[in-house]
Amino acid sequence: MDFRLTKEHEAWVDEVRAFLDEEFDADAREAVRRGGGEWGGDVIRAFRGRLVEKGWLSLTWPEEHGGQGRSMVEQVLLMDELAYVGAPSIDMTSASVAPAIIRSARPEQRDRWLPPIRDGSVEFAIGYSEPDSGSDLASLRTSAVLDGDEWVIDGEKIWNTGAEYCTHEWLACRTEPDAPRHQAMSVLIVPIDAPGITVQGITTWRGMRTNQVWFDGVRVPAENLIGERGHGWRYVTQALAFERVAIGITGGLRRLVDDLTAYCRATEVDGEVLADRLEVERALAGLEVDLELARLLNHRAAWMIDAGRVPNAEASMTKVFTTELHARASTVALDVLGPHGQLDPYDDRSPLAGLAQLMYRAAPYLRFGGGTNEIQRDIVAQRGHGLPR
Amino acid sequence: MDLALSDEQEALRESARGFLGRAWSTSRVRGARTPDGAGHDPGLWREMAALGWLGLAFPGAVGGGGGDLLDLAVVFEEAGRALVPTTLHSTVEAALLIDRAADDDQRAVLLPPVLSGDRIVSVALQEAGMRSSPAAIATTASRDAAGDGVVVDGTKLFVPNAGVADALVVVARGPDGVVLVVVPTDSAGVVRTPLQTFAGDAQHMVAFDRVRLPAHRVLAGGWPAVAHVRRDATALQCVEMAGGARAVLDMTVQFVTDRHQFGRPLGSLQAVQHQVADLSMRIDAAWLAAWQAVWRCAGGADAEGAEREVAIAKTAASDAYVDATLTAHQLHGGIGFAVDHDLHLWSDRARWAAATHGTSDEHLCSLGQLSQPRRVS
Repeated sequence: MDFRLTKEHEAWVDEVRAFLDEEFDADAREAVRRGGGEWGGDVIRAFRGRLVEKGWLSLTWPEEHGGQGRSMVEQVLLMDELAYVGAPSIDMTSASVAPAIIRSARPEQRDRWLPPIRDGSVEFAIGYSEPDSGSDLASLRTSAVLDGDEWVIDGEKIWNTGAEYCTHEWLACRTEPDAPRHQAMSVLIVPIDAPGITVQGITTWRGMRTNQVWFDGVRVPAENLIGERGHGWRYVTQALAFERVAIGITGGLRRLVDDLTAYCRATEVDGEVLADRLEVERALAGLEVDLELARLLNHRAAWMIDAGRVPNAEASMTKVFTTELHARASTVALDVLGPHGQLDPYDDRSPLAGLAQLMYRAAPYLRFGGGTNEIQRDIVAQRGHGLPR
Repeated sequence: MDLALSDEQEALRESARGFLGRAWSTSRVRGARTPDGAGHDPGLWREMAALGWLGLAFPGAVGGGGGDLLDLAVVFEEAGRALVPTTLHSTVEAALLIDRAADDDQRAVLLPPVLSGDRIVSVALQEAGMRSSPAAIATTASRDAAGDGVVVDGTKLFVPNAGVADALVVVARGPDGVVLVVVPTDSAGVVRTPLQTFAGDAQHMVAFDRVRLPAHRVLAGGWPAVAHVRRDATALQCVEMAGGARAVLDMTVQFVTDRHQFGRPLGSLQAVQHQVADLSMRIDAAWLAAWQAVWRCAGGADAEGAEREVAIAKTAASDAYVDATLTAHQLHGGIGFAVDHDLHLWSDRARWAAATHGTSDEHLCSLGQLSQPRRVS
């Protein structure tokens, strides 16, 4: 048993930090701060280009598929560092869709899709949820019908984040209408500029944009069906397990707790240093405990993947624990910061550059996104402990 | 990073679980409980000693097995699961303290009979006004005017298993700071009074009235030795608690699987499943933190880091174990509330463990003192 990072891992963290010092400069940090972490801005897109050049978006892919063959622990360490400085993270195209393609797609599909994902020219919006199919994902109704050598798609998707700038849709749809519901689904890759697709923005509480997307007789070649017909449920649930490990990243929380601690040590209120107040000291200590537990659960899930095991309950645990800590920690921070915590990020008097309030308003999305935390608890109880469905 | 036990440790775990499954049971736990029992089981004790558990983490020269704290933790996790009497933990802690604080001659005399199971020892630390601060120690060890020995005066509280202990390592205030004195419990002037607590383990008030001891009973290491060993013993206790909490979770999963209401298993209800899931998540987190703490202590890494990780582990373990038992009571309902059912045996142990080696409050306070930004970008 060894909880330490290996020498190679430590060197990797140093390499990432040196890169971020160089490439995620003050201008980029300021742009992210003012944009509230929005992904679509020019500075952010340029930074993503640098990640592509480094090959870090394909870090864990096997070398035979053009990746670097690095471990999941290293990817998690990279994501921790990116989150710590507020940089855009490894997106779901790289962290969730690409691993699914590597595992499940046919060889010619890997050759077709992996190179453009690696060079950044293909990016996916993930089409799972529908207006009437959220937690009950297997009830989705968007359909694809084979017409000659083309699939014809009709239906609608929602919470389709990134559809306004992504190139393709990673679309879960019903291709086997007569099969049992978990064998009725397939995954299609659909160019977002295909005729018949309509994208409409939805503005969220946090300010980030997501989308509703309509498919009206959209035609794609038959070879765009990934892997095998009727196996979509398995591909989607596997992709979601990887996504949950990515959502469980704790680098952003580390940043919040660090900045909050530094602020409390440097700030006097009513003639007393905030950090010297018993309730503040106690609150910060409680966050330290929970943050360490969250980090352990997250790194364990990554370690399991590297050890050749599939984290099911464990992926759900890191997702639940981290996202609920986002809510709790940002609430604690806003309480400690008092009225100043309300200030917008671009107000120079805003403590922590607005991080606490941004995290507070993003937390609900983390808790219900990627499979709600209620569904995750079902998974822990049913798959982890064998309780009946 | 490697979160798996070694093959040898896995083998030790299997043999420990197998042995306790055969040699120990909840009916024996009940038999050992105070006030009817002594909080201790001599038969189990001899068998554990024969397996080498008491000496696992001690060098061969003093009769130990030459292993480390991680090996010991494997056994403690299983002991926590099976509710082995607290004499195991209290004796190992006292032996670790002797090992750290004594000189070679003292170790050669004191440790072998403890590690072989022939003598039981315990640490006498707390007092009416003292839990963890050396400045608050009121018990004195003064120079014996009649010779070169010491005289111990004072009263210790919550001394674990003092009733069956052959000797106590007494933490006292000497002329030049904290000193440790090994006091045989049959010395003149030692009076042991059992405390009536609810957990069924044995804790005592021990009064020392002008207890005279020769100089070779004083150990050289002072408070630093106590602090170091308490840190290690706390980490071990966290693993023990994680083992106990997992036993409670397993018992509860079994119950809600077997128990039917509304024509279906209780465990098919989401309200029940989510409580199970929450416990599972928190126990896994506490288990990871506990093993990280033991690993850090075992590696002799820098003391400050270990203190932080031990404080995190104890807070997490106490909260997870106590909540596991309380949630288990809720899910078992009346069946688990009746003392015929075994659940309360773990509920008692959990509350004892939470109060021992620093409460969550105390560990959060010490973390608050240590807290600073971990990384500055």
